[in-house]
Amino acid sequence: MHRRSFFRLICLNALCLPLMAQGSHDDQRLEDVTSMKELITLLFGNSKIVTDTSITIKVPRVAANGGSVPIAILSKKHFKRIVVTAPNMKHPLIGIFEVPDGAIIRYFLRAKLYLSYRTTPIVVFAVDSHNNVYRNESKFDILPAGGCEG
Amino acid sequence: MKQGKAKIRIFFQKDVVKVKMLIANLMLTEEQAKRKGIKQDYITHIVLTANDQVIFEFKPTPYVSRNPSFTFFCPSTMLHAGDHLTLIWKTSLGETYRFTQRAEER
Repeated sequence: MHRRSFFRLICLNALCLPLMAQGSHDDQRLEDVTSMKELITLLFGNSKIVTDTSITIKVPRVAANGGSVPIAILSKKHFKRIVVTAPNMKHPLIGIFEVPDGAIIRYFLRAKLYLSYRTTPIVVFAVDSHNNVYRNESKFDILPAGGCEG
Repeated sequence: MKQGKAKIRIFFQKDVVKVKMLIANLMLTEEQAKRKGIKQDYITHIVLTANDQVIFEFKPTPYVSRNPSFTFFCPSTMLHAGDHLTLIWKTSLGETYRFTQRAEER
């Protein structure tokens, strides 16, 4: 009896191993992702992404300090999640706003953009309550003049 | 939960309340931490509540500026003068910090 229950336990553990391996892939840190395509797949799966110009993104054309670039995100529509990215950066994800119910989408933040003399637009993805994904891009690319940090 | 360093300023306007906040944290990227020879420390989750109702939530990466500052607006129905504000943030080192303040115009 003891031998049978022991072998049953081993078989159950062997079945659990692939599930644990899958879990470790899902736990991949979003900030470590280097590809925009991979980031979009991890965040939104195969959802269709539609451009929505009602999401306003304000950025400076030339950032005096690349270590502190002001970004403004405004929208009159309600979304439940706002994802801010800089696609030409080594790690594109800057942050994710989880918007509470009834909140106003008028967010101002400062990002660190290290681009080695390249430029990047700021691309914002917004998810509404029906899990539809919308996207908009800043009107022009930011050229960071150089960071003061590190 | 440790006591953290932060600043919150509230501006009551007609139908909205403007909130400016700043949290003290180095927000180090991996390269910066290696160069300084210290552990990578950055904020991973920020939540601001007013009387236990969440009014702001953000999940930053190390690519948010050092001592991250945010400005946001919320409807005056969500935040009133005298409300108890609690700002909680978690770092990549597994630490949780808390800062509390009354919602008063300063």
